[in-house]
Amino acid sequence: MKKKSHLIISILVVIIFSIFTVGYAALSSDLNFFGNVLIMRSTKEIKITAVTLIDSKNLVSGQIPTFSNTQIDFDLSFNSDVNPKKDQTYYAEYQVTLLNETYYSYTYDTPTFNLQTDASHQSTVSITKTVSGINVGDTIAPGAQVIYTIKIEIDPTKNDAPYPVTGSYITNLTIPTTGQLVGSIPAGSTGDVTNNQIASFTATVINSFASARTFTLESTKTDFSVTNSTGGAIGNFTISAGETKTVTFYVKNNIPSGYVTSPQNLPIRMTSSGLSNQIIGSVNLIVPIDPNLVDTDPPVISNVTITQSTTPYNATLTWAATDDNTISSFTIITYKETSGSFSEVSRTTTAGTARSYNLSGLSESTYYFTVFGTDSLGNTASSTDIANATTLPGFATCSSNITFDWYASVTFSISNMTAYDSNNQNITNGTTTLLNQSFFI
Amino acid sequence: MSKTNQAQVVLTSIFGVIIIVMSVGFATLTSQLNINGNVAVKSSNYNVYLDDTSYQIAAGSQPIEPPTILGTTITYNATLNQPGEFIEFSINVLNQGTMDTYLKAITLGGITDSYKDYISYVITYNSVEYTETTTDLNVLLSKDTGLETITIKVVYSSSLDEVMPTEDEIELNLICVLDYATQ
Repeated sequence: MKKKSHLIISILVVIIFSIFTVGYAALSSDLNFFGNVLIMRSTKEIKITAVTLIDSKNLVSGQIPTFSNTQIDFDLSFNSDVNPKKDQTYYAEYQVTLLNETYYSYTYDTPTFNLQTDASHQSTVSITKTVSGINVGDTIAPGAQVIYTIKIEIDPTKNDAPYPVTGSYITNLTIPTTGQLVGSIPAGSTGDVTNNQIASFTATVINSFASARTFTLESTKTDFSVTNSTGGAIGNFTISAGETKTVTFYVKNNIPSGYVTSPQNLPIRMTSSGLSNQIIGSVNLIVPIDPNLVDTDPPVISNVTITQSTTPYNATLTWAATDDNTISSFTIITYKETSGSFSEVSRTTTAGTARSYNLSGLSESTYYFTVFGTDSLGNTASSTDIANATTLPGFATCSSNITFDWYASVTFSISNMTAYDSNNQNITNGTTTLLNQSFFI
Repeated sequence: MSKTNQAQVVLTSIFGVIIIVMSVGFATLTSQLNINGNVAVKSSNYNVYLDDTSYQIAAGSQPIEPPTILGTTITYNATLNQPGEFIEFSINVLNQGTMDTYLKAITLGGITDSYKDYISYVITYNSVEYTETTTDLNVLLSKDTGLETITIKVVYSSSLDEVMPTEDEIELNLICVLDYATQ
């Protein structure tokens, strides 16, 4: 019977709550905005905006080539009949303006550049085409304008009626997708640059971009240069999209005296247009070492002095130091004398620029201190001075405390001795109303 | 049946008889009095909706296909062809119910982090701009005559410093939900 009542009450409660919930839901609402928006890639272009003839020799026609956004069509004619071949040059040099109106960075990749003469002249002329002012792998930023030159030169082998040269230059501009240029140098690469030798090394570079890139390698130290095989400027390497390429580079010694003071480890830096520079590894260089220049002298350390601090248990150690080279660090060794024997209690290293060190936590004893200095070549020496200090009695322990008991308010003064309260505060006089107040003397 | 139970039944029956007698008696005694009155009980209603007559495209906005506006839902379609273009429209929300209601939350969706570099999606309500989902709001929309203008703006960034889409076409399914409730 009771169970039945409980069941009925429960059902009633659920129904009431359900009614309340439905009622509340009816008093709220959502406004919905559903939008379908298409975002189209920009239709703005990177394009050739101008082609102008800036110089020529023996060009008789074709001064103004036609061009479109991506292509220049040449229809040139050089006259080697009027001007005999001897001592003559035949070329046309154009200035090209390339404008990136888009919102994307483009990479200048290897263009298609085909030029030819007609059938009757093919065996009597060679055509040279040069693009300068822009390199494969260069990045053309959004909004950037690049001006570069195209030079077309012929070398006719005989005098003839006008030499026709026709063809086109087609840009190859790509938007680099995400990628990386990663380089590495084999571990332990070692080369000898003594006696003005040029040391040879290799680096492996991986191009994960979807377009070709150019890069070069640089020395990170002015004493050495990264060069080509003859010691000249190394220039750029070109690496195709997705290619893994091993390149050879050379290192030469730039030091006028020919000598350095120690073996060298030379980090090599890779640079590529539009990318952050990166150190791709390092090479070990065997360098000419002049024994006369080698520093074997350790630092000279003097005036090692210990000064006791007014703060109980503390002291300050100071010293002077000189060296031909850079002092890289000091080591302070603390000894303690106990019943005539010495034991090392601490050893601390400080920076090479330090000339003092604060000691703390000393107990009541006599201490001795020596300072060792090490220079950047590893030469180490200790101080000729050994400083010592004995901590003041009473600082270290409570062995000399005396307890005075006061039974009334007493004004007191202390003379001919130094007294400290339980907080180690120096006291000379005062008034106490406390009983059993302690002072340490 | 125990004696106690028998007594309870008897007592309950007596009480029942007394109550019936009293009711009939009271009805009989008061039947002589006529109290006439008319009480009008007004019904309450909750009525928050988008006013389709107030829909307006902002100056400079790219065209928006005529949207579908049904009660509390508006569906719109547009295309942004170039960086620098935008769409912007406004529409009023009305409260013609008999109860005050409050904007409690604005939920914005459809712009992933990779699109945020070059797309901005802003809703303006009560002169406040919202670019992210915002909860814990409590903005009154008064009963009977409550009106607030909602502005939706989608901008295709034209900054040269921004990352731009490399796909030829990106379809954004933008969502904005305004959650109203009475207190």
